[in-house]
Amino acid sequence: MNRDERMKLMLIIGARPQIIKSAPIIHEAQKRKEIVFQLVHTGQHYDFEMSKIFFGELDLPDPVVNLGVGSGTHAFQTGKMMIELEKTIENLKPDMVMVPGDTNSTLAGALTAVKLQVPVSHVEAGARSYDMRMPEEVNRRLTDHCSTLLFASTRNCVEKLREEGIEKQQIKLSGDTMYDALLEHIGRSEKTGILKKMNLQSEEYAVLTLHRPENVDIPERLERIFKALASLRNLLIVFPVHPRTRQRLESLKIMQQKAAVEHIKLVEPLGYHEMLQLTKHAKMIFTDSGGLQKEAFWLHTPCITLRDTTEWTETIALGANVLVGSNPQKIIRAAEKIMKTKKGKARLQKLKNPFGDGHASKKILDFILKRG
Amino acid sequence: MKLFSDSFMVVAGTRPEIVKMAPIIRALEAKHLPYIFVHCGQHYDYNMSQQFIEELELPEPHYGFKVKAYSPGLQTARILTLIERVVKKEQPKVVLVEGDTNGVLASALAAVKLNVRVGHVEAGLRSFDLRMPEEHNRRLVDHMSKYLFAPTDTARKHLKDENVWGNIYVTGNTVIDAVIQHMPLAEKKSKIMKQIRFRRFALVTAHRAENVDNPDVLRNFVEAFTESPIPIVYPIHPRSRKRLRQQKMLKRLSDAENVQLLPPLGYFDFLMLMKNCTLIITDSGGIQEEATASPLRKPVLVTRLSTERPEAVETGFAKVVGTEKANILKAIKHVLTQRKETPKNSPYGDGDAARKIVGILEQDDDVGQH
Repeated sequence: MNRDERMKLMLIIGARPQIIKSAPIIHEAQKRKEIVFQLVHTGQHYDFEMSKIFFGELDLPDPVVNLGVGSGTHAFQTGKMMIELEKTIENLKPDMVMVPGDTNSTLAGALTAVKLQVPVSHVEAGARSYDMRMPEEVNRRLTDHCSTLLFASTRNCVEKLREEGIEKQQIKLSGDTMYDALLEHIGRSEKTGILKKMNLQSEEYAVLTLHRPENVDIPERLERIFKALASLRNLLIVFPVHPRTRQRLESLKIMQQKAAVEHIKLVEPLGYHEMLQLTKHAKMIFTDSGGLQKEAFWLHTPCITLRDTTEWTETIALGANVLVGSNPQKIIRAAEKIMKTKKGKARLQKLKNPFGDGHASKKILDFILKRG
Repeated sequence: MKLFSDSFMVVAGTRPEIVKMAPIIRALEAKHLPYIFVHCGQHYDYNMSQQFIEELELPEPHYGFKVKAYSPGLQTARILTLIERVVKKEQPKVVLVEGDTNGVLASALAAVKLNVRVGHVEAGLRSFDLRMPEEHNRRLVDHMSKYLFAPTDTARKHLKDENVWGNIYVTGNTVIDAVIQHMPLAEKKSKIMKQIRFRRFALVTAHRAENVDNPDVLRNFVEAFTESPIPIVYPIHPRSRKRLRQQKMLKRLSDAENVQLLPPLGYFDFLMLMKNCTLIITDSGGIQEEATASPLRKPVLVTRLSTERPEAVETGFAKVVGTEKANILKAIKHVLTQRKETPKNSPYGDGDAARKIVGILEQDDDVGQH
C-alpha cells in the first residue's frame, strides 16, 4: 500500500482509566499496515507517575504528543485542552480522531475534532446513567452526538444510541475493550504476588476504591460511608487510596476511633496487574468507579457500587452489582448478604457476559478501515 | 459578591441572538425577576453589538466579554472559561442561551459542568446537514439542556426523536415577539422609507454562498430582478456586491430603472422595508420567520431548493421557488395577480413566546440544582 493512502488515526487519552481501555486498540492499530497511528496524551491527570506505571504494565508506546494540560475546573481544563488539541490536530492532520470513555479529554477531543471537520469515533459509546449531575454523563452524551462512528460495549448501549436518533449504520456493537485488556493481562497479573505481599487470603477480604468528588469531597457523605464500613467488623477491607483522599479521611470523626476502623487497611495506589489480582480474589468490591464495576463482573466478584446511578446497568440487571449510594443501611445490608453466601462467585460465573468476546479492539479497527 | 440571588442568566453574543433574547429580558423585567445579562461578543463585532443593545433600548449588560479568537476551538475554549467564571460567581438558577453558535455551545457547557440548569431558546432546529458546525452546536446544546423551548411542533418532534434528557415546551419563536416589540421603535428611529424611490416594491435579500458564489444563479437573479413586474429594493451584502462586480453584473443591476440597490441595513431599517413592501424574495431562514409576524404578514418567495422552515410554506406564507429566472418571475406575477391575503396567524406564535418561557421558568418550583 502506498504510504500516502494510509489512514491517519489519532487516539486522544488523558485520564488513567482511558489508558487501560485504549491499550488493546493501540496494539491492534499498530498491527495494521493500513494505519498510521498517532497517540496523544492530554496530561489531564496530575498523577503522571501513576500513568507512567500503567503505560509500562500495558506495553504502551510513548505518546507522540503530551499536552501536559494538568488539572483545573471542568470548563478551564476542557478549554485548555481544546486550545492545545486544535494545534495538534492541525499539525498532525489525522483522518479520524478516536476518543475512548467519558472524561474531559474525551469531550475536548471530540469537540475540537468536529469543529475542524475531522470525523470522530467514540469507544464505549451509548453508556448512560441519565444522571446529568455527573460530568461523565455530559461528556459521554455529547461525545456520542459529535461522533461519526460509535462503538458500543453492549446491546443495551446500542439501543440507547438508537433511542437518541443515532443512525444504525454509525453504530457498531464491538464489545468492551476493557474486557480485551483483562483477558490479555489476567494471566500476567498472577505474577505480582500481591496477595502474598499484603498477607491476604483469597475471598477473605473486600476491596474499596473511592475517587468521585461527590463521595470524596463531601465530608458528610464520606463519613456516612465510613461509618457503615466501620460497622462491618468481620470484613477486612483493603483500600488503595490516593494521597488527596487520604488527607480527607484523616479529618473524619470515625477515622479518629482507631479501634473502630482497624479492619480498614489503607494502602498506596496500585498498578493495573495488582488491582486485577486483588479484584479477582476479593469476596466483594466496594467502588464508585465505572470501570471497576465491569472488572468485578468479569472476575466474578460481587460488586457494591457507592453511587446512586450507574452507566453499566447491565451488571445491575444481572444481579452482579448493587447500587447503594452512601446509605449506611443499604451498604451494610448488601455486604452482609454477600458475606453470608458461599457461592457468590460460582453464581456470577454462570452469567452471560453482555460485554463481548474479548475481540472488541479487532472489531473496532476492522469497522474503521471499512467505514472510515 | 454576586449581583442577585436566584437569578436567571441570559447570554447573547451575535445580533440575531440579541434580537431573540430581547423579549425574554423584557419579560423577566416585567415580572421583576432578577436576571443577569451577559454579552459575549466577537472581538471585531463587539462594539457594534453593544450599540445595537442600546438601540433596542435594552438594559446595559451586567457582563460584557470581547472574545478575540481565530479558530473555532480557541473561540469555544475562551468563551467556556469566561462564562464559567460568571456562572460560578453568580450561581444563577438557569442559564438561558439562544441559537447555535460556538458561543452558545460553550456557555451551555460551562453551566452544565457547574450543575447549573441550561435553557435553550429555539431548541430542536435541525438541518440534518452535519457538515455545518451550527448543526453540531444545536444538537449538543439540546442534549445538555434541562429546558428546551421549541418554537414549533416540528422542532418538538426532532427533540422527541432524539430522546433528549430535558423537558420540551412548544412556546413559539421569540423572533415574532421581537418584531412586534421592535416595530414601534423602528417607526420612530428609521428614516429609510424617505430614500425609497417606489411606492410598491419587492424586498430582496441574497447572501447564501450557494447562491451568490454561483455565477449561473447570480445571472438568473439579475435577470429576474431587472425584468420584475414590480420594482425591486435590494439591500446588498458586501459579499454579493463583490461577486456581482466580478461577474460584471453589478452595473446592469444598478442601472436598471426598477431596481434600487442599498447598502447593508440595520435592523430597524430592514423592519421598515419589510413592513412597507408588497412581497419578500429571500434566501435567508430568519426572514421567512419574521415575515409571518402579525405586523408584517408578507408573502415570501424562497430562492433556494429547500427550506428548514417548513411551517412558513405549509401555512401559505412562503413558497420555495428555486433559483431559475422563469420560476422566480412566474412566482412574483402569481403573488401580484392573486393578491390573496396571507394567513392571520403565524406558525411561529403570536408574540407571547418570551412570556411563556419566563412563565415556565418561574413556575418550575424545583428550579435550582438539578
